[in-house]
Amino acid sequence: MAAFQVISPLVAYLEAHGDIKPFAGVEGERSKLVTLNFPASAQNGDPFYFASDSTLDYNNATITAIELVDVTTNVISQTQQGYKDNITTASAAYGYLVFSDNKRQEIAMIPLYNLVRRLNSGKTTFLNIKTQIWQNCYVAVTDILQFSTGSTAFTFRVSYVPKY
Amino acid sequence: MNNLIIKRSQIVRAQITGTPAVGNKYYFTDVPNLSRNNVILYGFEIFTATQLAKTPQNETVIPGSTNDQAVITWRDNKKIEFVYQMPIYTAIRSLNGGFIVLLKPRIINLTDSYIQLTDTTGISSNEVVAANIYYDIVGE
Repeated sequence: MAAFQVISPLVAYLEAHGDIKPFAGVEGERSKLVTLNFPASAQNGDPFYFASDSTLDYNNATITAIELVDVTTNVISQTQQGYKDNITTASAAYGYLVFSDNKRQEIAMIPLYNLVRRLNSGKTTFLNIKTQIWQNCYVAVTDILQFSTGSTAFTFRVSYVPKY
Repeated sequence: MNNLIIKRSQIVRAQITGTPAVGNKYYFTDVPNLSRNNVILYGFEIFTATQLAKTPQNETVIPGSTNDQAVITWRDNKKIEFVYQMPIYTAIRSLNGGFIVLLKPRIINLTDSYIQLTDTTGISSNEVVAANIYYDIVGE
């Protein structure tokens, strides 16, 4: 006898509208590590913009998931300023990530702590960001003293689906 | 089992103004681009200081130890309290297996929605309860 699967009307509705997908579902066709160093004289609330990466701009990719790699997940990352420690989750509580489009309108604002996969029972943060300009996206912090700005950096694993 | 996909999100907050009191309604602060009843909410989560120590507006978020002392009510644009007094603990993702609360999509009135405290121990005046709302724009 074939298995009978019960799906609630609400789940079916949300799936059809692209609001949800299985937590173990495909994160994206590709993923890459992106690092972000602290700028010189970083201040609370300053946007720390990502370096330009056209493969992650909206005309080339839809961003489908993102993960903050904390120091427990991976100790060190290679950045444009050499090898740096990744940040701790205690520090992550003092920062947030903002996705912006080509008019610098904020599409989504997500606290960094939320993006640490292991703190959320292994469930990644799904996205469907289609209008982003990567170099307009940024991280900001609310207390710079919680970070070792010279020796640490932010590392993200970005999952995406290329448009071509 | 499914989890939410973030299409648009915004950190919103309800401030504990004055001496914290049980039962008072602490309404969410206005966000200009979300204030025209133009937001269709389909999910949300709550943050205490463990997840977000301060908001982007530099307001202190209530301590993680008080995550069992508040409830949230969401009102829609018809003044219906479609989520009434839900414990905020239930909406903290990292405490609930990484799942984000899903809702039947509704147009919300942000500034009509509110937080209530069930115990004020450890909560100070001017602290905020922060939430991330996941939404679509009406007509988009």
